[in-house]
Amino acid sequence: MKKLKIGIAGAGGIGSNVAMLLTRAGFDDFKIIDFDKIDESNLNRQFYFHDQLGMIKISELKKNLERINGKIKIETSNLLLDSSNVKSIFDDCDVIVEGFDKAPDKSMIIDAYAEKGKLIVSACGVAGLNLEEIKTKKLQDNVYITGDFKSDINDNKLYSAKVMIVASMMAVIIMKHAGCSDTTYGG
Amino acid sequence: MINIIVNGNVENTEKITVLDYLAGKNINIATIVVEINGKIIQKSDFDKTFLNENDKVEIIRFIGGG
Repeated sequence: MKKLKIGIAGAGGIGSNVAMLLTRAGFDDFKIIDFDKIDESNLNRQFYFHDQLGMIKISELKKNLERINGKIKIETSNLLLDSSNVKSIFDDCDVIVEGFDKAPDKSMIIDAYAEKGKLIVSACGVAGLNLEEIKTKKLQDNVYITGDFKSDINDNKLYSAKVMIVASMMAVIIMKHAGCSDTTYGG
Repeated sequence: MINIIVNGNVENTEKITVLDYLAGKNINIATIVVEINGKIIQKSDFDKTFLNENDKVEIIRFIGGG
């Protein structure tokens, strides 16, 4: 398995869970950026706990990931990403996980990094309970977008059950990119 | 007029820029990604990139939730 530095843009339902899944798979070098605090409404799907309510997401996510792997390296930045500061912040990462809530922010990350050739894994359509239409679209050589491409948070509730499926599919794209073995005899 | 393929469907259009094409369809460029013939087009190039005969265009419209 290649050693890859994983950039996480937004530590919400997608970002926190992809980080958790990759940590369990042995990835140990992360840069995580978010500006938010943990709210009760996050606990239906995000990788946080009741005793962390009101605390800064990135600090608590770091602690939670360290409970899985005590030797993990996690750089955090409590920052609201926008078009002025997004351009180079993930330049030291090999992979970028797009975990934003809002559609314009998702588009912004791809616009900023697609041409740099890094692997970008993004989510589009994670709300509701419709699982049948979840798919991954690949753009260019390096951009993967996973979701059902239609279930919006304005019309559909968010549940961990579906968010986790999308997060798992995103994590697997990264694991395959890193050369994680599919078989027990593959090393 | 030229033929292009947008998200798998053949369309007939003037030879215009990506920006003008999207404006004509009332597509908000803030929430999309556009790929033409396997290459993602940066938003800053939308006004310089012209659609050409047989271009294969993919337009992804992001929706909220993460």
